[in-house]
Amino acid sequence: MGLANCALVLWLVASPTSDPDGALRNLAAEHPQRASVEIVGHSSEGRPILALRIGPSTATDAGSMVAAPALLIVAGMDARLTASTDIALGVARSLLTGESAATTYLVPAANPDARARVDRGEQPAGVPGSLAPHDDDFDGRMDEDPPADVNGDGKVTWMRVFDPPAGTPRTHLADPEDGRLSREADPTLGERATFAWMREGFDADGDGRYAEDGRGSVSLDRNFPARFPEHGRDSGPFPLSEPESKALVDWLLTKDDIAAALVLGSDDNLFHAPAAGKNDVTGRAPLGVESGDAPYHKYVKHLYDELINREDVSASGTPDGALATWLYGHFGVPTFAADITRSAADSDVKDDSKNDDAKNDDAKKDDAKKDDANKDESRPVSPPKRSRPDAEKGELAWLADATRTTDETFDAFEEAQHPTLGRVEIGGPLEDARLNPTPALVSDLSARYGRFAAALLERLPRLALAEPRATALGGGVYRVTFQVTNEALLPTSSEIGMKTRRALPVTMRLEGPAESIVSGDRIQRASAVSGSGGDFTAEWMLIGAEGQQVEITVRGSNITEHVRAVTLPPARPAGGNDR
Amino acid sequence: MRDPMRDAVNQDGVDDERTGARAMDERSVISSDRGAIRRVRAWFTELSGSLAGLLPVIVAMAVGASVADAQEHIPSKVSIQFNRYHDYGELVGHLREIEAAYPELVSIQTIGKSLEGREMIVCTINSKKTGSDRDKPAMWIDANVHGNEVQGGEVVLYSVWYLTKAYGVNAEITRILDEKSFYFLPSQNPDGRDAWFHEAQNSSSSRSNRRPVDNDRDGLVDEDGYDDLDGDGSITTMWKEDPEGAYIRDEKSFSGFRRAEEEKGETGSWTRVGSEGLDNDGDGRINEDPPGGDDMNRDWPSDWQPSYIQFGAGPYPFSSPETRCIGAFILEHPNIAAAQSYHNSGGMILRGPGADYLDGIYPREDQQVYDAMGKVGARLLPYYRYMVLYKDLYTVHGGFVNWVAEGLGIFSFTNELWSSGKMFQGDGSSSDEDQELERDRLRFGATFKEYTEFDHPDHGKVLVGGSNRWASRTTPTWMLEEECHRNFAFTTYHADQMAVLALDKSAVKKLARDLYQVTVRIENQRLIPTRSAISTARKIGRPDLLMAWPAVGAEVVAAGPCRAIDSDTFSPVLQEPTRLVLNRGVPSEGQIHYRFLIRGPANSEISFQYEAEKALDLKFTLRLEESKASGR
Repeated sequence: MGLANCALVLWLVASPTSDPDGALRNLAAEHPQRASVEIVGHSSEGRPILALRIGPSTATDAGSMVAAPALLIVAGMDARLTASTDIALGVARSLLTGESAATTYLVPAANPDARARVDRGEQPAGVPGSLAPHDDDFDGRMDEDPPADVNGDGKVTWMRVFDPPAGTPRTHLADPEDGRLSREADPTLGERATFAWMREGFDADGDGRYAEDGRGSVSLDRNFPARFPEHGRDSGPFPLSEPESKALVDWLLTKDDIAAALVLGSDDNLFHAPAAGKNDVTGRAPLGVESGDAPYHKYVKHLYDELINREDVSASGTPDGALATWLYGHFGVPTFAADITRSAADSDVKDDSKNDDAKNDDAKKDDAKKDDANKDESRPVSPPKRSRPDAEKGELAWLADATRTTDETFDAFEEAQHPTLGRVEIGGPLEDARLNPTPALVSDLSARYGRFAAALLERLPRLALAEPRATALGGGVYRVTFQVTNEALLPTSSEIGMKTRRALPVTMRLEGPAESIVSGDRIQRASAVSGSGGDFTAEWMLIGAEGQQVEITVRGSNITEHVRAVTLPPARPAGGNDR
Repeated sequence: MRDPMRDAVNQDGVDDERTGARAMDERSVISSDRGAIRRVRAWFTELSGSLAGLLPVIVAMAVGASVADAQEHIPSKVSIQFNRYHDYGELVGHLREIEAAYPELVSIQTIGKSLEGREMIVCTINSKKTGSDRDKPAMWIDANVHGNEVQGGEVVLYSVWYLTKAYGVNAEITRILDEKSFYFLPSQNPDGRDAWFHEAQNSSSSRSNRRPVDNDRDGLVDEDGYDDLDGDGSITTMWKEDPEGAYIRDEKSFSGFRRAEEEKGETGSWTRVGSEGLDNDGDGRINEDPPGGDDMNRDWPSDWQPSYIQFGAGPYPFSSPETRCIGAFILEHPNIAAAQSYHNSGGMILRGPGADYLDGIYPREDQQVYDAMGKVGARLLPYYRYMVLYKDLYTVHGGFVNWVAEGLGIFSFTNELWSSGKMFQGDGSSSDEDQELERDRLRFGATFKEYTEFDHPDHGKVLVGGSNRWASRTTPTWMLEEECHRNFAFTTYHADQMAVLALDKSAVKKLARDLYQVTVRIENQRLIPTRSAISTARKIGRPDLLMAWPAVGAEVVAAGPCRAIDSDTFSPVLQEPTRLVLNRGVPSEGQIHYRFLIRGPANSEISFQYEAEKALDLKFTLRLEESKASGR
């Protein structure tokens, strides 16, 4: 089998799932015992937003273990990132074949309208927006000049405009080393720009600007209330203005069991560790993670480094208005954001530009020596050497990626006659391949994120209830104690959870008449039970009688209300004070 | 919970008209040392009862032709008392009466429903004969986002009542209504308002909306609210005897208790237990989870912050059905250029920002407009001060005034109605003696509930009583009409400052054969610019447009701004000279100059239209002539 065939097979195996909802429903149908479909809400065009709920693999023993906490996984906020949806579905498959004592909620395609446009090939490059009309260019008209297919090749790409209209300067040139790369001219090299670089389109509104106001523009992942970028270009008129973001939040607010979240997209707080203990302008809301949450976040980052093992990712941090920022800072659960977009490091091309630079330095020294030796004043000035910015290195690496066919990654520039701009070249990088990892890598990442999700599930807080104990102290006085233990890594409430007051404290209430309690508050509470064996013990002294049943009610987040009873033991013989 | 006050509404115990019913204090006034006041009150109640029979006559006298010519009074087709308070149903009922009486000015629409199903209404006042409300710049006026801050609702009712009766009678009101439209919302929080009137409350309770909230985080919602133990319809204070207590019972003191003065050898024997109530859920705490909990004035999208930063914030901005439908209405009406949201209390004319880190968000030009209007307001409203929210009051995240001003670029104030300084005027200060004088001699004891004993399950014998819900925050009913009028006058002034555009000057100059230069000066005759500077800076709303339509056979060759009507040069735009985009609009009491080069036959006409979201369109036509200047 030749290399091309091999790539084709991979493509068939791992091409973007064309029907994420169908795939999700199939998974639920195949695993009726563990999986079920929930409707999160509906998009602006009326598409359902689906969630897959995967329950614990074995029925939890109501006798000793209280209800399972849940992990939330969201993907597809930016619908162009089809790989994130595919990875989330892969995670679902892998979780369904494994064991877990916890619950998972997966929302693999959170932006179904935009996804439908991507699938139809309509999604204009740029903003992964919803459909809300927007006046991008602030000319009093909405969505009037979208990117468009000028040369009729079925793709909306880029234009090299050699004779741009007045007011639009030439800024770019074709890179001398690789003509496919369009980049800004560098005046320090004496370079001269030869064209203006524009989105492919017509000037539909005749304002002299091209493709500057496409359909819709609200990016769902900037539409959440945490550090909402008001008046931002793509954040929407107000937080949760879009039906998709609001539906997700409304649905999440009904899920008291969610104890941690994983967002697959283009944000990151795993490859790069988030700032700890730094707050935004309010002085209260975290920019990264709370100091108290940094240790477990560090441990999860370690899991990520071990299991996901990427050389580099493009993103760093969770932006203002992003879902992940909201999930942590407002919703109050440990949130892990994983950048699954393609990065330069994913290509099979070695970045040897550093070596090049070293060589060049050597060459310069050689030149200098020669100059010294020859003092040849007639020698032409050699051009200064340019050091490539990382973005360009990534772009070049991607263009040279041997695992992709050229057709997938790049639309070769072709000359065309634009109705108003005259001679142009149309082509350039293709959005989908530029953003999404190769199908083979998506396959691989699905398996890796499956392991990572399973590892997270294992570390969700897990409370075990001991049996209450009663000791007779004499004189009809009894001591009653009751203990819960957290057997997992994560605390029952993270520091942010306590701050946002998301997680209810764990409370134990001694039932029965108040007068009988000699010491101890009737209701005792712990705002959190820390992880890794942390416990919380309530203790009361009460007046009772042998054989009397005393009941204790336990409540809290991730805990179904439990009542435990203990029978007061026979009274001790009078006299002794030993316990 | 007992609910003995469901029907009694009026502070003075005047019967609720809908049910006939009863005075508020039948069972509650027991103590003997205020006998005189009781007698006065009984007399007053009797008198109002007998006056009720004469009401039709009095109304006829007020409205009918028998009003003496010397009256300043403008009669209305709808008779409303402004020396009493109205619950939500009464407010809406009166607004609908006014709508029926003045259909050419008033239309009421339902914009949504409150959580408990009350209709949220907007009352549009617009002189239909001078155009649609949406074409004119409009002022938004609402009230009562906090359920207990009731008098704003009365101001809204008064404003609608006054505007309708004065239109066509008073020249100033007629002019303003011909130029501007108004959107009135009588209560942002009708559930909270009605709960305040019809349930036992104090002056500060029932502030929130009615979305159940687990205030004490015990997994239960709204399970331990106030209880009206003495059945007087108000939530007052509970005191218990306590040998360790710091207070002594002193019936002459203002609250009936005062701190023991140890240096004088006094020993305390009473402790303040708290507000009237029981431990309904048996958790050892009293009144710790009353109905609701979301502060809707923390539910707006600009600088919204969650409840751990901003107490009272709900789960997310626009989380309540009330704010959501109001937000939708305002977003659908970009012609709103001014806003007022009435609260109580303290005598303040507040503007944003609500937080120090937003201090830089108000551009200097906008601040100047606010300052100019705020100063006038402080004069129209004695004992009110013009203040900046975060600096002069406290920090607010997600407030209404912040959203409309900072999110939407609308010039907005929040008035905190009623200043206690008004009671004795002078320098506005109020001594203990003043307060007693007010309570006993101006209010005839109606704001105080005499202490009565109650056998409390947790505290044993307690005394229940003290200041009732009318003792603070609300304007005394006998000063209410003035409060309404002065605030109405200020918001009408505010509305009058919305942009009015005029073609101040034009000049036509022939440059060559069939080539003319037309220069126009457009002026804004009011304080509020067509686009606030914050809108310009943050690209809020739609930019203004200056359009030109030459006659057939003529064309606009170039167009753009210039410095003056007789400038030598101008700055032509590169594209679309017939549709100029003006992000800056026309400034506060300022002018803009634009020039058009037009090729066309002599004497042909060119029509212009200046379009702004927040001003009436300005249309004018000029003729291509030899040389002509016109204007003022």
